[in-house]
Amino acid sequence: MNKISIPIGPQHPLIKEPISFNIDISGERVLGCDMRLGYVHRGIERLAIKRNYTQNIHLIERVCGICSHVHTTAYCYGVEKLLGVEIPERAQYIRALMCEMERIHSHLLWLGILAKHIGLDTIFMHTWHDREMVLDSMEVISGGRVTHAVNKIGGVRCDITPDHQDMLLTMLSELRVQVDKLLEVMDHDGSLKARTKGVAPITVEQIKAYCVVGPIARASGVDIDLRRDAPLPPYDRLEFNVITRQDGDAWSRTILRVEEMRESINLCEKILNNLPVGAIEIRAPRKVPPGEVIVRTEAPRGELFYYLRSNGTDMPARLKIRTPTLPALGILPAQLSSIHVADIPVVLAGVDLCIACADR
Amino acid sequence: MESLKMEEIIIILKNEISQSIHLINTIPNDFGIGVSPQYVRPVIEALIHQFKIYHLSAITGQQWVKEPSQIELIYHFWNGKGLSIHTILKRDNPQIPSIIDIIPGADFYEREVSEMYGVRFVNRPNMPPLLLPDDWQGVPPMLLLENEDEQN
Amino acid sequence: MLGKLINKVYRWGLKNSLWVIHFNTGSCNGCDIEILDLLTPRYDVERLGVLVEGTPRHADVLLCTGPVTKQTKEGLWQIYVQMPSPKYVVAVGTCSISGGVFYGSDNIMGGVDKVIPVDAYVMGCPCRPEAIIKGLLELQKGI
Repeated sequence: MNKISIPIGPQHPLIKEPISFNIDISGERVLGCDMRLGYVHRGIERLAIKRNYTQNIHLIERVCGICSHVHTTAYCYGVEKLLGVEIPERAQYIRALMCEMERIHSHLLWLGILAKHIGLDTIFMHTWHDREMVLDSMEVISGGRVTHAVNKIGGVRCDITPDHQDMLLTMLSELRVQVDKLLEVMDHDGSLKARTKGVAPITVEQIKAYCVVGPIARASGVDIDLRRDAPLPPYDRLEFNVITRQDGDAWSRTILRVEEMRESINLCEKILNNLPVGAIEIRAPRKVPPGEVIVRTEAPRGELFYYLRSNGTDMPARLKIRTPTLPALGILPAQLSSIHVADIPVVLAGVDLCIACADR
Repeated sequence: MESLKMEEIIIILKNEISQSIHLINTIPNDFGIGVSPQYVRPVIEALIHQFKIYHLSAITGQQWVKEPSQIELIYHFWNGKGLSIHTILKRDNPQIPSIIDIIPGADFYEREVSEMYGVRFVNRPNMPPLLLPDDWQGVPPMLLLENEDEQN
Repeated sequence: MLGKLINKVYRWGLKNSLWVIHFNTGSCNGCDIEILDLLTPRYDVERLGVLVEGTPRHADVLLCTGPVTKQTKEGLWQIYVQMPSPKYVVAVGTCSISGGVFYGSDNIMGGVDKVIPVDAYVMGCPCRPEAIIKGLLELQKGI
């Protein structure tokens, strides 16, 4: 049969961010794909060395709007390590709370987009409506729905009052009811399972060869989670389960993220019930002594890697960011090489693309 | 991976590949190995086949202002603890053998370092631009100019 | 006389059913997920007659986010050219007005109005969904 090429270009109703694919198909089978990144490249690493450490927090929060808090958390931990300061315990717990709430909101967003791609608009409306509960809570604490500006060098900017604590615990128990309902519907319903079971399985060897991280790796049985393996405080004092599945297909990746949401809700409740008293910030000097530091942390999509080098002034000498979507894009041509045309939206949505993260 | 085993790794690599491999401990919580560019590929092959360290987190390129004629590449690995391979290339002819046949996931990282610093990775197919636009004209953007100060 | 009546009915129809296409020229996604939030049950712009379309040929309004990166400049121009007249452009977010936090970068043009003419600006980083709705209503008043 003849080979034709479908362009999924920078503007497409399927993808909310500009990225260009050329998918080669023959009949109903997909042969492979070619992609062009770089549409969202704003040169963040070049901008970061022209601003001082505090101005960079505002810049780094806008690398990606969906996982904005975890980027600034990794950056602030790196700078604090270079300065040799340790932030108070209450500030560590508040940072972890915002990280976990961001994980819940990111997974709900992803589930809605996946359902919209498949055609199940009802799940899209329900998950994004539940997501509003999480965004409202984050707005009450920090003042912003999507970017919060909670972190500063030396601690956090906003405190959690007892009223906030009660409100958050109420919200989390309502959210848990909704997530359990969602899991039940997805388990019993036939259409989502039928569209995703057995589609584009990834083997453990492929995961290791392409250095894939995050929920995609855990869905194929590779047990990595940096909250347990390289914990930033306070994750070394909190207990939680790392969820893995063995099949590696699109259904495993879907169910794994919903179960991770439930685990994150448990973790948020543990953090709120054990919040230590004390200050939320300490004073940090402006000039950072020369040194290098590496920070690895678990973003909603996988391992986030920061390398920071300082040279004794108040501006960094080098900042290197490697986001988890980049290896996931690397394995995408291999995933697309064995599926039917109708499964293309399922695979593209299952990867949880965040092109703004990948291009920086 | 206990730190005792890391020292054993350096001794084994020194004996098998080259005596010029040395320890670099400038980054806390990260085990650094200094290697010449021609030995980077054998060291990575040994890490994967002998020691089962296969997860490459990133490849960082950078220049130090006190050594403007050099480009440093750092290959960051992870196996429960961080491990980095540091290597120094000359600025006027930066080239190093590619590793995409042993680690296919290094493809995007090599393409990014190549277009940002002008490093040439030998023995690999074409390198179309990854992040920079198609009509980018000019020097590789992250390369320091000859007389440029780091803070400006 | 008849012409004036037809024109009035035509303008009433146009301004109460603005069909929208959304294009991201390199933003961080913050404004884009707030635009998608408009479709969800809480903000529900469909009650104002606004539908999000997939192709420029069906759309009246282009909602643009992001500082225009050099790679998306050509795409943005092509989308604008493909939209049939009368067409309007709304620049959403501070990035699309002036480049925002990325001002000074060597890979961005610095604002949507450096490439295509803009009719309404919505500020915020990222702007709230209520602000985007107000931007659309202000656009309606001007039609």
